[in-house]
Amino acid sequence: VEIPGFDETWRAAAGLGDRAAFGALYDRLGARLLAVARGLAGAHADAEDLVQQTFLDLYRSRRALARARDVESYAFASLRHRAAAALRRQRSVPLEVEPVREDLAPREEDPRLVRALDDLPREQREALELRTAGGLTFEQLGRVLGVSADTAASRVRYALERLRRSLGAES
Amino acid sequence: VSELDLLERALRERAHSTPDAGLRARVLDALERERRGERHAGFAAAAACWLVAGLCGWAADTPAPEAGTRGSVAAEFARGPDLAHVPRLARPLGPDGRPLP
Repeated sequence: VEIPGFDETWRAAAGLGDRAAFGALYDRLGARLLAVARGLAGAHADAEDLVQQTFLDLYRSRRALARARDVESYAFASLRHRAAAALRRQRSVPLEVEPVREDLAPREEDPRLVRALDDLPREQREALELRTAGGLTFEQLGRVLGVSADTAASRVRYALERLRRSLGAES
Repeated sequence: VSELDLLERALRERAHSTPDAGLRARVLDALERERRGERHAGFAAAAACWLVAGLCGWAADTPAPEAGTRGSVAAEFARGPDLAHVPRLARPLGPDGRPLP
């Protein structure tokens, strides 16, 4: 499945590490990667670091990226691995709470929703964030998670149902 | 539109509500630093190869020391003894002066 937007010219340039090619990659995926990173990492500064690290990973594996059948899935899979590694480190190192920068502070959010999202099992949270914030299709979601599209869709559905139950129970 | 669809839509809107505050420039700067680092590493590796090749060439071009000098003795010592001229051990002789069978 060829995803439009990453044509042969882009792939050739990206494979060589061209700055403009990676700029185009950011323009296409940066906001969505950041939105998913925020969902997976929690703190906003961590989310930005996560996206930066993901782009560095993509740059280092640029030849594989240029050959990837689905560049979007490849990028989101890189982000997912980065987020998992960051989570493992967070668990082994005591958390230090940093003040959130004013310009990056999230808008006023429903604390019930935040709590309900935090209570989701990890694999459901991942699937839901990649689907809603990343805008991936179920086929892409399956590729990123290493499961079938049906399993990916089920995870999203379970997550939504669980969220609905949590929010309904609290209201 | 089901309740779950509405919830999914709300989550989509929530996800894209916060600006990235110059992350694009930060990411591209980081890639530029990485590119420069790779280039420097490439230069360093090339310089190391050039140095090794130069040393090997210098060693190959260096003439052997003349016989009788300290260098030649050291070279012979390093080569080990030349046993070609040492006679092979004869079989032990019997009481009659002939080699034992």
